[in-house]
Order: sequence, then structure tokens, then C-alpha cells
Amino acid sequence: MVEDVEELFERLRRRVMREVDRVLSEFEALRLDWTPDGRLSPLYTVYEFPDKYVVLVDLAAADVDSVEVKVADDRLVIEARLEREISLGDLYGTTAMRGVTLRYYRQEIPLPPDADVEGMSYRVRPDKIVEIVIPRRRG
Amino acid sequence: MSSVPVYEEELDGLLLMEYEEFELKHPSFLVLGLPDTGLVGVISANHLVETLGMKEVAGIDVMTLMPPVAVISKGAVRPPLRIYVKDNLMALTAEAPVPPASVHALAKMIVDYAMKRGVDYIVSIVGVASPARINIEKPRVYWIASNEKARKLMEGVEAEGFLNGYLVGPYALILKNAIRARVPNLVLLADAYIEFPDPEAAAEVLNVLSKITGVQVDTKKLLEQAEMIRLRLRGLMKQTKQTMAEMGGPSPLMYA
Repeated sequence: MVEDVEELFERLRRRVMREVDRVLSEFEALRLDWTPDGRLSPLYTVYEFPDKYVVLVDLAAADVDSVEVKVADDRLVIEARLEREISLGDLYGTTAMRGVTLRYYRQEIPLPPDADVEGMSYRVRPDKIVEIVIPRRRG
Repeated sequence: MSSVPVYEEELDGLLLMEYEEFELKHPSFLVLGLPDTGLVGVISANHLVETLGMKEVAGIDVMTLMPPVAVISKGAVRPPLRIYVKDNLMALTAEAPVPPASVHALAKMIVDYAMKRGVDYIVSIVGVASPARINIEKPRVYWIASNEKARKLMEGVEAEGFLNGYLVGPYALILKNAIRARVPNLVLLADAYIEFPDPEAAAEVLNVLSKITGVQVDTKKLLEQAEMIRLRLRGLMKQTKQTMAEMGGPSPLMYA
């Protein structure tokens, strides 16, 4: 009986998480993905496997040596400088955003409660896609 | 590019405009670069247009596009779907994902238009969502042919037939319409990141396209500029991901 309740809770938790993700991702699409001070939000994807989470982050044009992956509270924080400063106007070939210069990537990703951050590892692939693996706690 | 089209046709909120008269040489290929997995089609078609110096001769406007946007480029309003021509190649590129509500009309419009212009082959370029993409150095190219004539294009070309799986979105409907209309449609698919723009996948498809069309496409510059392309296409990738989710396409396995 106890197990059933736990299972029910787990199912509910997942449903709520999914719903929250959906709403957040809708917000995400509306939000600007850069700030006037030069911060860029990278594209990322979170995959869930039975035993781990795998997060892929696209850090195109980043300085690979500056990539930092850390955990703050219940969030994963990814940061990296760009190889060189890029003017938003140049990037899109428009005069409108000439004043904005992109300098670094920063992204915070909320971690699920069963993420075992002690066991976290990451590697930066040659194409500058960062793969972060976080084991899941059992039970 | 004249501001008054020489030809217009409308279908369910889609407006196709030709800005000038043009002739296509044969055998002619209409290469489709619609936003989809890894934006492989968009990147490929954009690269074709740039390296071959193709001329913008037509476009398709989505009058029901949300959010309502007018793209201004070189001082003129240009539709989100653009058609370029050079010799025997025609390329369609997109600046915005096709709204799910317009997918049916667009698929019909594209196949009808290809017939009207006497296009010999429609070549669709798309990424195939590959969860193992991060471990693949050289994305593989697969193909689907609508009929025997399209299949013949692949003779002697190194690529695998795509036997099982599914296509979701505009390319699926274009393929079905092409089969019905008996227009040869070849779909070229490359292993790609689902949600990251993937210029390397595009480069592999373009190598295959070169062999099929006989038009040499240099992909060196594409690979050199890969990171800037990825950076530039982040916004379109995000919108495309959203649209794909609405169409029930392969979605991220976020907390599944």
C-alpha cells in the first residue's frame, strides 16, 4: 500500500514536471535569448534515461578552455566565454542591433530532485557540444 | 527584385509570388530547405544559394503566420519562404517554421508549383533525429524515393535506403502529394542533432546532392563557418522545435 502511494506520488510529480516544462518552454521561446550586456543563452536539451540524465549544450563559437559546468543549489550552471566578441548586428547582418556585443554563454537548468550531482561528469566534444552526464539516485 | 510580382497565386492563406520571368534548364531540381530536425534543409539550401550565387525569383508568404511578422531585407519586405534559381537548380529556403495549420496547403502548393514549372525532381532535405549523433563523427546520409525515376538518381551514389521510420511535418505531406501527382521526389536524410543546427549533417547531404545534380557544391566554407551558422540559427531552431512539438514530431525526452 505504501508503495502504491509512492508510485502515485511519483507519477503525479512527473506529470507536474512535464506540465511545468511545457509552460516554461513556451516562455523560453518568447524570451530574448541574449541580454544587452552580452550574455547569450545556448541551445540545450535534457534527455532522461532510467539511470541518468544527459544534458547536451550547444556552445558554438565558445572558447573551449573557458567552459565551466557547476551546480548551484538545485540548478546546473553552464558558462563559457566566446572565442571573440561578436556584434549582434554583424551576426544577423542588420543595422538594428549593432550596439549589442555578445561575449559569453550562460545557462541555468533546473535539476530534477533525483539528480545525483556528486557523480556528475562532462566532456566538451570537438564540435563544441558539451555533454553532461548526471546519474540518478535510486529509490 | 521588383516589388510588383509578375505572377501570383493563392491557396488557403498562402501567397506565391514570382518577381520576374525565368527559365529552368533540364533536368531540373527543386531543392527544399524547410525548417526541421537540425535545420539540415535550411542550412543546405542557404549554402546552395550563397555558393552558387542563385537568384531570388519568387517567394511564398504565409498570410496567417503567427506571430505576424514582416521580414525586411535590403529595404524590401520579403516573404518567409524564398525561391532561388540558377541554371537547372531551384532552391526554396525558409526564414520561419511552417505553421502546422499551413502545412497541408504548403505541401500541395509546392508540388503543384513544381509541376507547373516543369521541375523534374523535387529533392527534400531533412535531418533524421539521431540520439547517438554526439558520437557520430561523419553523419550518414539516407534516402527515400517516391518512385522509380527518383530512385534511379541514387544509383551509384553512396547512401543507404531509409527503410523503416517515419517522417513528420511538411516533408511527409510533400512526399505523399508527390507520389499522387507522380512527381519524382527524393528525400535525403542525414543523421543530425534533433535540436541543434547541424551544418556538418548539411555538408554530407550537399556532397550527395552534388553527385545527383552534377552541380559541384563546395562545402569547405560551410564547415569553416559552421559555428557562426549554429550561432545565427539558434532562434530559428528554437521556433522550429516548438512547431515540431505541436505537430507531434520527435520531441526532447525531457523528464519523459
